[in-house]
Amino acid sequence: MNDASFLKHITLGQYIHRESPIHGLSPVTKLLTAFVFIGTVIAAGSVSGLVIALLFILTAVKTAKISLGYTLKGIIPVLPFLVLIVGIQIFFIPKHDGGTVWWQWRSVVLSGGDILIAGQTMIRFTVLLSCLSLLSYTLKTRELHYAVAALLSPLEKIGFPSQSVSLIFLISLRFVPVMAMEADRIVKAQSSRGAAFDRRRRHFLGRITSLIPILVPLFISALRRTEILVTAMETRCFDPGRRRSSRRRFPVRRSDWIAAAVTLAITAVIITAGITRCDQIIFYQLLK
Amino acid sequence: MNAKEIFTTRRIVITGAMGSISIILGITHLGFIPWFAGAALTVMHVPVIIGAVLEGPVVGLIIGFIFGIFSLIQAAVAPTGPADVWFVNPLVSVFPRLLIGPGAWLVYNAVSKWNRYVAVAAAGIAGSLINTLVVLGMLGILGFLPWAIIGSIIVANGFAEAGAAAVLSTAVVAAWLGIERKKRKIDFDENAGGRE
Repeated sequence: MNDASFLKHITLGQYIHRESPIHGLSPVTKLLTAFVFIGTVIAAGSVSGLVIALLFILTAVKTAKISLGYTLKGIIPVLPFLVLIVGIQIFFIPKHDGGTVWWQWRSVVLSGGDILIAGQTMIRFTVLLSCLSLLSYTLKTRELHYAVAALLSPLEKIGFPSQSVSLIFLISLRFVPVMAMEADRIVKAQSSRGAAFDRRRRHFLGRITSLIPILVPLFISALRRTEILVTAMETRCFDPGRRRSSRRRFPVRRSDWIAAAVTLAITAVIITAGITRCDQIIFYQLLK
Repeated sequence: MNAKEIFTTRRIVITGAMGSISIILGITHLGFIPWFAGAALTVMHVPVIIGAVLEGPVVGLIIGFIFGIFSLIQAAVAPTGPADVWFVNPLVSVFPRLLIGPGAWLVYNAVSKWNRYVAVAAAGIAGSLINTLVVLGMLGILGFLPWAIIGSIIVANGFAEAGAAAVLSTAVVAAWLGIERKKRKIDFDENAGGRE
């Protein structure tokens, strides 16, 4: 089995320490602006709006003092799928935009609208990836816990346990690298005992049963770790119902308001660009 | 029952751990079984079923939520095929996964009076079928796929996936309950690898 080393796949939740204005923002601001921005980018329907979004997020990466090349490197492994998806969108999904047909072979049509759609997919993907990367570069897991608890705290009035729920998210993120290492160890141990993980050749039942020697120990090891963690928390008098304070506090400063205002202005521009369909107009003007 | 009684320390920790296993199965592709015609069966929802069986419907609901959010992020950031484009929509990726845990728990609760292990297998089948039916149902309602194709996917993928989920969740729960019974005899540090 070639992919025995799982740790190299995990880039999620990687934090890069820098002294930058973006790192200094309150975690609530970072999470909230990222959510608003991602939502706008997913809904955005114009190339020009997405280009503005791309410029904005790359400026933000630069402001966070993180190299652009490092951020954009994450696209490389995904590129083949992206090209495939864009190819399918261009050639096989008919678009009724009444645009000029440039090239046709049976049912496969290449029109002006196709280029716009393909551009949208590529840029939208780049923006989403950069935004999620930037969020993980600048947000520590501890800060994420704080932000989720703070954002959910209004729900406490109707009895929603916001502290417990944010603790669950924190634990599951913290467990990921530990469990990945564990999976790595189990696969190596079972291979050294002669287990065959060649899942392609065997019949269906064989494929499922070949997973059992990996997955069952993985689950059992996770459940054992939970027992250890529960004991550790309870001996330290952890009480899930009690309100907890945090050692570090993140007050909302003027820079937070500035960041929120800039993000809102950019989302407004992106939405306007989508509504007015200005890029269709520009694009067809350029063609003429 | 109020929130304080639902969220014990144990439930918080088990929910987090099962959520992380669901994420691991997705990242490492351990949770996918190659299946004919290039499609892959997934067992990523098994942690949801196991959590629901061991600790109840709310735990299952939250693990399902983590699973759903993660599959949304994965579909957006690292798509493994053209179908992932649909899973960027939370109605397809998150909403159906919320139903797996409570559904599996209901079935487990109904059958466990009769036989505990049969109940786990039944919960595995039920949870898995809920996942398949609601995800594909959403794809149909949103108009991504015609209903005729959905029917054939349910027959080709859904039943095999349900079988895989039943086998795995029964094996895990049986092993865990067996360990719980003779817990005191086991030296944790040697067997669990608890210390790094």
